[in-house]
Amino acid sequence: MPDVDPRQRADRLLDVEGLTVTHVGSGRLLVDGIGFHVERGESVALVGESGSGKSLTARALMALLPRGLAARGRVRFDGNEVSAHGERQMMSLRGQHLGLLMQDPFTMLNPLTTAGTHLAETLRSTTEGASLDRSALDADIARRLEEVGVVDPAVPDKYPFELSGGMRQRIALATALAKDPELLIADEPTAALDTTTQREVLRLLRRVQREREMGLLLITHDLAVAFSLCERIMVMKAGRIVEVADPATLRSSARDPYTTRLLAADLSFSDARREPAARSVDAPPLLEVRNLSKDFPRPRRLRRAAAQGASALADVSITVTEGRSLGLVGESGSGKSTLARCILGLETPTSGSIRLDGLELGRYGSLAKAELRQARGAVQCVFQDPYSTLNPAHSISFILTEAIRHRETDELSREEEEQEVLELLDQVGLPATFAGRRPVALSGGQRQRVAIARSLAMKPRLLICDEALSALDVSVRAQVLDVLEAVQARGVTLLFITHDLAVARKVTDDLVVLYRGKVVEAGTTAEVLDNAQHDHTRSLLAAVPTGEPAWLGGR
Amino acid sequence: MRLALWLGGRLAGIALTLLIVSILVFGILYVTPGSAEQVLLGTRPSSPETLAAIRERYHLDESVGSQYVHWLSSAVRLDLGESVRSGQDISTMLSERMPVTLFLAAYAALIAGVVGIPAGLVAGIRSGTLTDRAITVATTICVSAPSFVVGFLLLYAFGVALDWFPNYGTGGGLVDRAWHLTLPAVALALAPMAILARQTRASALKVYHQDFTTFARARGLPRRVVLGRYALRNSSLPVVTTAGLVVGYFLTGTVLVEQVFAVPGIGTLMIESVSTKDVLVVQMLALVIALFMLSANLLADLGHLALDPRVRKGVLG
Repeated sequence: MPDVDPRQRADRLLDVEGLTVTHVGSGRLLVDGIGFHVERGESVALVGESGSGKSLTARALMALLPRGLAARGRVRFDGNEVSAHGERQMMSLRGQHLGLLMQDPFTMLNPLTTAGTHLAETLRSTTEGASLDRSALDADIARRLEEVGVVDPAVPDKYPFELSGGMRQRIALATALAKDPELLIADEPTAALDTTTQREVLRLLRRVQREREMGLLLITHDLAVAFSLCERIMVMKAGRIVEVADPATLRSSARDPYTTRLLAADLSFSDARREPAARSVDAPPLLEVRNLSKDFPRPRRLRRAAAQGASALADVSITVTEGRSLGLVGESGSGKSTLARCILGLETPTSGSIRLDGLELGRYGSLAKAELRQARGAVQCVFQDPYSTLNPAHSISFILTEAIRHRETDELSREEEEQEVLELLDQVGLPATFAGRRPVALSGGQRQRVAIARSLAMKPRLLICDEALSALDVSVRAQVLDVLEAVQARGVTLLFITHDLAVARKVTDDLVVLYRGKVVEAGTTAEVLDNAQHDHTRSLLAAVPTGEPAWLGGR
Repeated sequence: MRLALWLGGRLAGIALTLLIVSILVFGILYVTPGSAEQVLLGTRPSSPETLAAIRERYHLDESVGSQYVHWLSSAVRLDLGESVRSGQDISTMLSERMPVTLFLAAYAALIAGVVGIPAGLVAGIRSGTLTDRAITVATTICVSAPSFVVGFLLLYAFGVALDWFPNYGTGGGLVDRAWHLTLPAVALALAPMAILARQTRASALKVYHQDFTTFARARGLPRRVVLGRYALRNSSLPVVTTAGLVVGYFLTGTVLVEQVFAVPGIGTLMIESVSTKDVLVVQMLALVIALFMLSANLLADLGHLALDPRVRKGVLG
């Protein structure tokens, strides 16, 4: 940063120079000498894909790097050099001056203590807080929960597992803010939330930031989110900051080719399906779900429903036409995944029928062996989490061969199997060299492609994608989306489950909107999205990031 | 109310298990070489009168089923009969021997927990450091050293050479007894302590790198809270399960240790009774040990209930 008045520099809230993070064992540079600053009350975004070093930057600023990583460089906070601070000095800085909000609301809170305890222990860890009596403490907790929009007096006594993801993230935010920091670092604070909740939490974050005139360093992979929340965007790639600009400049005239690519990968909601469906709506149905209901017995509800609202289904009917991909949208807990699990035979519906290919899948257990084989061949699934979907002990070729053998009743020759493995890899855009690798050597997007290839090995007619893109970065998402479009073009029908309408618009022909286990709207994708009738559809639509500050309301 | 229901269910389960164990234990009399009269007569002079008296006393003329019922009902009434070897009343024997062993077991459990759990916690949090490696090596030694060898070493080093602790006797009064039983308790505690330390280490290693611990540190919470409420409490869930299994070991582990230190407890009684075929006493000891094991597991489950709100909700609604 050339030509900055030293006095102006000293007045900056956070000023970072030449920050590096190295892996001690291998000497590999993970963050490569970055410099940036955050002014008082300013909101700045650090945008990049996973692995770009943005989260490590956040951890380095807090001096909370995982073991085996070392940070160097100068970090000045509020005019004081903090990079030389020891653990004890950092402890007094953390929370009180520098706050950190992390990504996953489901793992960020102590599962054994209540929401109120989280706030109480944080408030009590300051010198003023330590002398608060119980009633003053309770009043302070209530006031701080109110700031994040939690007014239910029962919440402080609830344990994390009894609260929804959005609620947990609110509690976490209130806790991170409990000691009134001047700078909040928010590391992908909404990546684990569905789109409607994401918008609420981002809205809240912006309101709180403005009211408190607090500095905000938002770390995200989503440019649209960064655009709508921040005044300045820093784009990070492979440990370096490649471009810094305000949102308008970045959007209209990005200088760095990487930024341009990120911008292009960011799905615009107006992007409709590229290839129109092969069949018309009147073609014979491939899958017919009629009046399907599913109730979970009580213990199960206690575990899942408490966190996500009842994920049961009530009288759901959908039809998937062969060659026309169907999108199933709704917020978490709307029953999307339960429906998919019923179709896959992983759950037994309480009542109703699921007909596929002349088979009744509603009573999966009573199918004959040959019918089971037919059913499993006809429907396959790609799940959400690419990191837990592949057996880490097996090579990619083993994983695919296993699926091929499962399909074939007669044994194939070695060569035929190998040939097919390569074909499958090719179909999902992976080079042949991947066959010998193990999942651990693959990135999330590559793993998800292998998962798709594994499903294709069964030669299914219907491929269920259960939030298959949700865990992926924006640019990777676009690539996997391309793979899925190619799969569709080969004649496989998709049942695409998502909470993201931009993705739904891009890959589906028909759309069903689920809300609390009921179908509230159905039709062709264009009809439903362009002329939404139900409130829930409208709120899903409103939750798609536009990249405009107005998306979060207010200015 | 739900707690009472749950507890009732668990107690019923324990009673059922004990019933099954009692059938096996009753069988000891019949698998011991020699006829039942002979076994119950022991070393006393055999005469038709005494044999008839024994048959009368233990209902040996009745069916095996009714013998079992008689035996069980007297066991439940704590009217356990007399030792074949000494003619002493068995309930009196147990009540004399039990307190020493229970004291020893509790003392050893205390040592194992107070040393093993913090050591494991430190090793887990400082994984990869010299401290961690030292603790890991120490636990390996502790878990692989037989308690009687350790017992002799302790006895020699601290009892004879340094003369810090008494070499025999159980002492009277709490402090004196603790002083007398320190060496045996240490010998008994080493292996379980090492197992607890290992378990805590593995558990803490996982917990300390979890988001909630990082988030706690990011809020500048004092070390005491981060280590206690976050690391220790979350690590303790699997440790409690292990502890339940390990504590059960104390009553059987005490056999060797009591022998080495000449502690007149359950363990010594067990050896004496087995070696003299004192079947009635052996049967009672087996039942007592089973009861002890089952209670230890129940305590571990109660520990889970107290620690984990998710389990609590599952049980209490």
